[in-house]
Amino acid sequence: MNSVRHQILMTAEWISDYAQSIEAPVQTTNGNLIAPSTMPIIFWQAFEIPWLSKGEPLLHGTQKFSYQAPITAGMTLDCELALTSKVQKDGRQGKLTFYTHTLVCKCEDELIVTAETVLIRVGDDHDEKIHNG
Amino acid sequence: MMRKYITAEAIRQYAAASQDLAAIHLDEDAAAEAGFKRPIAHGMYLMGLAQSLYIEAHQAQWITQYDMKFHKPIEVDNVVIFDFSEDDCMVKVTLTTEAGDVIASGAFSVKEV
Repeated sequence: MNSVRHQILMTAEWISDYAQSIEAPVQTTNGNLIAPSTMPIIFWQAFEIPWLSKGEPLLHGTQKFSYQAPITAGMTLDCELALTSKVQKDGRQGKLTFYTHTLVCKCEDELIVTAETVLIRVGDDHDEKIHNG
Repeated sequence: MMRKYITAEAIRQYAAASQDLAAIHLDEDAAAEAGFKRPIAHGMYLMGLAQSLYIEAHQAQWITQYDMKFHKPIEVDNVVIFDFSEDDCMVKVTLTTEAGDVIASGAFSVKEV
């Protein structure tokens, strides 16, 4: 299985806690708190990700967010996190494996945000939990 | 250009809020085992901080697109310099150490809230 789904309720408290942790100013639209643009990265904590081993050290290579609309307090987001590619390259530190993930979040079937995360593992491919295809 | 001193306490607060509790960000011994003198900041903390610094000065805007590449880690108790440059539709941001080493670089676009 290379994708997992989870429904996420955006509470004002959760947005506020995250915003404080990155010193983000409070922003609102129509009286609702707007989540900082980088907040979807912490949605990962809600998922059980079968293709990654917990605690395995991975480097964060690149991160992208693309919004159709802001995430605001009160939204219920239907999110899908998928492993979209796994590519191996030879680097100066040895073998590098690039895992590209896409997180797509919708609210009432309307696309809100797409996020792409590239994680890098340094060393031989020893993780049998990674499934391709 | 903005300077920000990255403290271990700020990293602990980010770890708690994000639930990214990887030992390399929080534990001196784990950091030493990975070849660092001190724990390293989360890349996503720095990416978040960059957007916060920009939005603080442009509160009528929200970020619609945001990309960042992480070049090298930075240990806590260091200064990060955030350099923003704007053109018509994008804001470029580069994070460097005081010595000029690039930690991360990216770009974002904004709209009015």
